[in-house]
Amino acid sequence: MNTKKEKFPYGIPGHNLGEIEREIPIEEPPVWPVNDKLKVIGKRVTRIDALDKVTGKAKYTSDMKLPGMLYAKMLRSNVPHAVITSIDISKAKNLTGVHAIHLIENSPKEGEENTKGKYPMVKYVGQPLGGVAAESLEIAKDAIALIKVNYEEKPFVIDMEAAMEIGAPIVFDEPITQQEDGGDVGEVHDGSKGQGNVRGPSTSSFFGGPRGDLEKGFAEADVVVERTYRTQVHTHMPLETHGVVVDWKPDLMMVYTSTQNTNNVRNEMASIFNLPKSKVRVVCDFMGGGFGAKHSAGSFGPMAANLAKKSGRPVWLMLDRQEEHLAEGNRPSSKQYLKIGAKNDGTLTGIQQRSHGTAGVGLGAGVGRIAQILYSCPNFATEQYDVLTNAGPGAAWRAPGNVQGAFGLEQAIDELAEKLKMDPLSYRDHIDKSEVRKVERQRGAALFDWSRRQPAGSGKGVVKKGLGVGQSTWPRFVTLDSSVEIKIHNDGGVEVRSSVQDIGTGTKTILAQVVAEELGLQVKDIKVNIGDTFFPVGPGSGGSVVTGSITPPTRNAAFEAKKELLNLVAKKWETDAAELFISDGQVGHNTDTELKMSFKEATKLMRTSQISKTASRSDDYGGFQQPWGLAYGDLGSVQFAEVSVNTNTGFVKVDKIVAAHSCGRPLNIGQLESQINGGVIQGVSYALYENRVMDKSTGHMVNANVDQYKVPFSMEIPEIESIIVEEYSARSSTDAYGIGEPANIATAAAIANAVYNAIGVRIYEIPITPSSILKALNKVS
Amino acid sequence: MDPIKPSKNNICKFLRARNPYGMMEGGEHPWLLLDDANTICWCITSSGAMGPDNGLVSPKHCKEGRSCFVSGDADVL
Repeated sequence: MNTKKEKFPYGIPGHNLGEIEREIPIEEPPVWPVNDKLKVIGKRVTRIDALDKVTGKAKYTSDMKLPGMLYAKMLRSNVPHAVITSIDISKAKNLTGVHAIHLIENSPKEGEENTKGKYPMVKYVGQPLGGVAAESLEIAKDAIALIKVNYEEKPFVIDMEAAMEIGAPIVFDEPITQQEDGGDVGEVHDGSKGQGNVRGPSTSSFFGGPRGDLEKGFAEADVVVERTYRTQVHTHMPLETHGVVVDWKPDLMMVYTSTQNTNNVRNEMASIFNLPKSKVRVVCDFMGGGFGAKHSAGSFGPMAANLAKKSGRPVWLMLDRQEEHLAEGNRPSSKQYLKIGAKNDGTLTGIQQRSHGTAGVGLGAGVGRIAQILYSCPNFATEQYDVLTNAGPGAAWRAPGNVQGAFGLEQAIDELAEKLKMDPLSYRDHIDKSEVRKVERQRGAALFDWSRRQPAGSGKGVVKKGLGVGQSTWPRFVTLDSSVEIKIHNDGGVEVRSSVQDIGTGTKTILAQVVAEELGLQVKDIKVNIGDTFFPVGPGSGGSVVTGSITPPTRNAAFEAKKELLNLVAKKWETDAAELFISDGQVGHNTDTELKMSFKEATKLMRTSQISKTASRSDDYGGFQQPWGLAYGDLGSVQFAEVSVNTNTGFVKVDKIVAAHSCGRPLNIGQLESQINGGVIQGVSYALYENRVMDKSTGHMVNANVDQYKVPFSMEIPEIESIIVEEYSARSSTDAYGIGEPANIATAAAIANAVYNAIGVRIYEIPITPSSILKALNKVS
Repeated sequence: MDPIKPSKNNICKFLRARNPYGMMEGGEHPWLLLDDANTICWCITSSGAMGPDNGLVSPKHCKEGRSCFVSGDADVL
């Protein structure tokens, strides 16, 4: 491979900015300087689709209207555990306006006998069983009400701790007999639990497995904190619910959907219906938010497709809010035991973590790896168990596991600091090796005025003020299957194409910024066409991967297109193309200032109607961490919380959050602040309000709505101030990363620490409610 | 997470891992857990966390020998 050596900005401006030399492939574009020296990147650029959104011009999936389109509603179970003995659709079928009914049935392989019954077993309330397509949504709902499902009900279990008891109803009947089956065979800690519904433990990750010797570590400790922390089930509440419109034409299945991953939906639909990928097209033009649960076709996608196939008409199927709560994913609960030891000088000697959590009928309820990697400690071990219950399946939820993990870890670190008689912020300076978090602590503390903090519980009066801090880390993930096409048309137009979707975070705008910067144009000159699987494959919007994955190939493709255009100009001017540049919409020459041509004029030199260049994400400069291909560095954050606690009523008000974050090279300050605001608000909501409440006697969620499933109103949202720390690491042509996950991880922990500082009593469980405050203060039993 | 990547051929073609970190494998291993403690597994045939045989879905379960297993090679278009 031909390479070249380039010097890149490296470090944090205002702290330790320097240069580093990297050997990179020769085709990579030249180094961008720090943001101060760029015209478009790192600036507060208005979203290119802002006007469309605020005027209602933007069309979302639920706005789709196609000729002959039918409206669908799904049939769902209303018992938590049962065998379906029969389903009677005769009345629904005869209802005027009903065009198709599809029931989910077990279909044995060819030549095999169906031993599992006609219908799948029911494992939770809200499980999809079928669907109806009709001429209106009202008719579809009426038809669903006419379907009679007969159940043979079975014992069920909703509560996690009850599910762990010997003799609890078993969610999955199949015996767990071998470790290879994922079974928890005898690995129990209190001798009475661990069979039946418990799976695990998970003990390692891409950051490695256990390290050191925990027993030795705790023997060396002068101070130990040993606590158990609990977090609730947190359901997904995007403004736009899950849904699709499927238009299955003879040669093409057209799918309009609200998704975080157009490519994934396309692949799933192709696999399910045994179609070539080329005959499935997925489009997501505008999207009303997704926080981890919208990566797939779900159950609603195949249902709409089956109904479209049966009816021969396009089918609209959007879920309602209740369905979202019941069946479209949640952040699993957690019960996390942490034991942390330190020497008198603060040096950590051991971290032990053990957790149980329930993702309902699914797996994946771990508490993340934050305890493993946030602080340097030679001795570490984790055991993370899933507990199966008869409730809706979990899903990825903005920094899966890490939010739960941080809630425990960052309180334990605070408690350790207090035992060591150290300020909690200073203590983090002592044990945290991250340079970027060090800067975030310094800048955040100054803006927040951390010096105001008083000893815990020392405030006077009924309403007590408290200040707290929490930290987080998130890996820099990169999806290499990320490609972009750049077109320069011969009328001067520039177009960006990729299947990557903009889930509301502003991906369209940052792509326009990158291309505008590279081509010396303005953002308004760039047309961004994304969210369509007929374009080059882009990454899914999860794990904060989009910016780090898609902006480098975007810049690289624009660079290649520019080179081709400048070659045409060089030919006309009979000069060396390397001497040419584009700035402010003009092609110019480095030494001959008389030579000038507008960008639009230059595009008329093209022999063909367009220049088209496609680039894919190249390997990080300097490679990846092996063996798992993880990018180097992390996305660190430090958040400061100020709360007021009314010790008579128990109400907690979060007054202010200062959120200090890093994401490599910041691309758009306004959009980053917007994402941080969103993350903080979700963190406040998680810490104080949201909580799935289940009726253990019926298996139903009792607050599956937007009334009793409490999220913050505007008056409950704190003042939020953001600090975005530029950090250059010279790993790609943009050196930029996302901020979705990091914005959300530390908030609940910072609030919990602030509440402790206010009242002098620590709360180990969220949501922190008036009741839990009054109980902690011994004001109610 | 297993230190060795499991063979693709032994995993049911309908298994998907809803891992929280996006795909680092170019989409070739859609079932890859990356971090098994935080990954939700999904069967796209049954559209859920429960397989067509009413059993639990995971790479450890969705292997050859299970009644509902479909090989990745069974893709006939």
